Amino acid sequence: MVGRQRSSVLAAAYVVLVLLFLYLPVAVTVMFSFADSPRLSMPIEGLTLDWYRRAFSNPLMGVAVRNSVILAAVSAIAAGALGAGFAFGVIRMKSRRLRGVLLGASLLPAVIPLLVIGISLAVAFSAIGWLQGLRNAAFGHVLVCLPFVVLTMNARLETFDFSILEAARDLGASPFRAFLDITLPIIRPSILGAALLAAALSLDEFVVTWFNIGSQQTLPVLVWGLVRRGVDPSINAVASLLLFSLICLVGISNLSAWRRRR
Amino acid sequence: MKSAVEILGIEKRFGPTVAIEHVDLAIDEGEFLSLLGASGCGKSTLLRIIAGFESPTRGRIKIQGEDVTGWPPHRRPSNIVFQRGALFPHMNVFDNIAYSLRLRKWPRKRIAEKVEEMLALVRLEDLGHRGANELSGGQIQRVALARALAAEPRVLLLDEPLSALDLKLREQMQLELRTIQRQLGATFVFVTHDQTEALVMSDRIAIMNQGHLVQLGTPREIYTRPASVFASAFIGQTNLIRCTVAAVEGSTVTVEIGGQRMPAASPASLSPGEPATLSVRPEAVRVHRIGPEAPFGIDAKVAEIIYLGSSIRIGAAINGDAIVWADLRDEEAEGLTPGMDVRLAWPPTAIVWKETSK
Amino acid sequence: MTDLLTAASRGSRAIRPSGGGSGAFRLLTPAALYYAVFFAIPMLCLFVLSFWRAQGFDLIVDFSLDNYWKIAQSPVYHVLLLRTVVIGFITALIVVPLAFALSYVLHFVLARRGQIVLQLVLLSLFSGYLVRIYAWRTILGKQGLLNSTLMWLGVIDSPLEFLIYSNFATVITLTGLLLPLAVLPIYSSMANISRDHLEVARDLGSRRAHLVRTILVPMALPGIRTASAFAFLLAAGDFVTPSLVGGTQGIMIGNVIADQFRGIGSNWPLGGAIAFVTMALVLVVYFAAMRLIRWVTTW
Repeated sequence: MVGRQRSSVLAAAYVVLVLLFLYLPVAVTVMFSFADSPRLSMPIEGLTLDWYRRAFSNPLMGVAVRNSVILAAVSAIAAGALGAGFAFGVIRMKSRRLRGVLLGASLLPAVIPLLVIGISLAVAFSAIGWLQGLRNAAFGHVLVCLPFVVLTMNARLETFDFSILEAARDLGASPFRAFLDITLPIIRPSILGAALLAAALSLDEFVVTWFNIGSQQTLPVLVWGLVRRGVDPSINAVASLLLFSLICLVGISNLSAWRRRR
Repeated sequence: MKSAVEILGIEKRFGPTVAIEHVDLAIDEGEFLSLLGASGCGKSTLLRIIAGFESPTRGRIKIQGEDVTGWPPHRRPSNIVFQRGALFPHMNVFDNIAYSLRLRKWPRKRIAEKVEEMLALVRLEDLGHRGANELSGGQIQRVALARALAAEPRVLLLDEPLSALDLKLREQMQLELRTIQRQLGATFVFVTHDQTEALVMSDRIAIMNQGHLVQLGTPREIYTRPASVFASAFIGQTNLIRCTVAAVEGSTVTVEIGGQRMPAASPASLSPGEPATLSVRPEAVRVHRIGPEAPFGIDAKVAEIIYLGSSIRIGAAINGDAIVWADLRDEEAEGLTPGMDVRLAWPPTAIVWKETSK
Repeated sequence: MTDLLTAASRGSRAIRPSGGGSGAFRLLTPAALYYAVFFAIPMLCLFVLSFWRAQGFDLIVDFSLDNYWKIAQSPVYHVLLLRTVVIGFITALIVVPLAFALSYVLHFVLARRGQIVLQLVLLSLFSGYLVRIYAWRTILGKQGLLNSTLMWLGVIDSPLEFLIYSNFATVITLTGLLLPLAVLPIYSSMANISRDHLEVARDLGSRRAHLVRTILVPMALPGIRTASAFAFLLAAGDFVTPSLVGGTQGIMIGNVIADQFRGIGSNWPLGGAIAFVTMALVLVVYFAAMRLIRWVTTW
């Protein structure tokens, strides 16, 4: 009994340490975005909103936000639709082997370093004469988001009861009608959740963007530029804003999943 | 009598595996027919072929004389109740039942009346606005039944609709289903693997085994005159005793079990000296104490006594080998103890089957 | 996000329609085409390009092994490749056991409460890639959070120099980035192991260490494999981390590849060649390591 208690205390301590390790960077970023002194060190002497003001006065900020929003929207819609279709198709496959192979293949882009994906896309686009820019980056974003959309959708479709589609057909609905009346309303929250996840991934995407966007800006590209130029506390402000929008997106995504399970 | 459903030479293959091997079956108007068989025997596939979810490799399906082979499910005048109900989870009970009527663009008022009628039929009058996720297992199947019946099918197909329910509820629903079917005079085709269920509910039972239709008949015919060893073993419980044919006189056969002889009936032609299988139901076996008044029979030794509540099951070993089970009433079993010598007797209607390869 | 997790774990419980395979194909074709056009073909392009030559700003169509020859001959690349593989390997060696232990605790010790913690762990995946790397620079910097806190507390007199712009900083940062990603597959495969399995093994007289080696690790092996692939491949392919926290002596092969594509005097064919050499090398090491795990855990 005592041994058991001690081991669960150890376990809890371990979990707390890991969470600290994972969230320390987040805490530091948000903390220093409000810290008075430009030197990023302890102790913090006062609080200020100056860094946010400075971030917004950056002429590139507006463009970066606009482009990031465009990319996130494109990723959400395109990766959401493509990934949902793929997951739906895979789950209807009868062969277990084939399902495994297709799922595995669809996850490949998540294991290949983004660097390699980024440069290979850059090469392919330049081969067909597409100049670097937002369009190229968008195609890259959709590719990077797809595996995660497929994974999420696949998990949510696992509990989908296909016999209700047969029931609808049996009661007189054409295949299209059954899709409209039954499939779509049921999987809509799942697709929405997956799409929001894609938006979050896109919003945070840097590497593939960096090799394909040319001289355009996105929020992460802007952060990168600031970081390369030196220590500038307004980085923390931009980063905090990015973090905030990411958490919102993932939060809503989870909420839609939770509502579905209710 | 006119047939509600005609199954004509239906055959179904999935790649190299044969699911259904040439089945012919005519289902009468207003009949409750059960397709009975173990899982994988092809009964569900046959039902799905009638519903239109599977297309047969060969053969035709007619519903009330109309050839519907190749029709998509939504055009067929049949409706199905699924094993787990398959209610639309995002709709309430009313909308589930009204679904087919809305597709047919019935006026609102008529839909409401029909749904009310169906809810009353399945005794769920007050549950119209319940969500599909807020129902118990029995309620789900009732709504599924109401939903299918609301579509006014010419034949209702039921794919093991009670198998997910617990025993008590299942027995109650069996009777209810039967009552509803009588009340409507509708044709029901009911798939089940549960032989008791089939016996209780059906006008006729079609037993399937490995894609074949093995026997078709009323519950009584099937129980008392099984057409094969398989049918006799599948329906109810039976003793299958290995024996040898000793003598043949017309349809009466004398068999030898462990050196002792008993008369029996045989549907097949047997010749003396042939190995065979004797099938006798436990309730037909009588157990007598050895003595002057003991009738003609086979001597055995009591090996097991099992208390079943309403009866007592005695296992008796013939020559210390083959065990024959007998179901006795309480008072008949009184005084029997393990190791006791007894004489087993059964009516000569017990059937002897040719020893087949399997 | 938990969905990401369940995805790999259970076999699908969907009630499948018995018919209609053609509909399935129609649904997954668009995405499959997308993968082909924007993943497979670009990779092929990069591979083909690695046999071309760059001359100034022009690319010369060729089939030459010049680029690969250059890599094979130049000690600079050898050092970088070796450092990359070693850093990637060490990172995986830290990340995978940490993730394994965490999954174990979450699944077997915390049970239901573990689900919430798991959500938090996975949520950190979305806490900003660049943001986290930059934050680690803030934390580990010479006058950063850690050093200044330690000095303020009087633990040290002068800042610890090795914390930042070192391989140490790179490994720490990569560990932070990749740990949640490694937890994902390991937890999923562990979710299939019930307490019963462990108790049966213990009942049969298995000691703790033995239990981990003969029951837990083999049963969670698919997850460990995926997690190792994530950790090792992605660590070895990262160029942002070394360039922000690794210092001049800590650059990795990814930085060189990146420079060939977005730098002064860029050379795409050479960059492609380095990328493929790196991936090949990493894959060889990865499969060797997996062989080793298999060998250690079977008896």
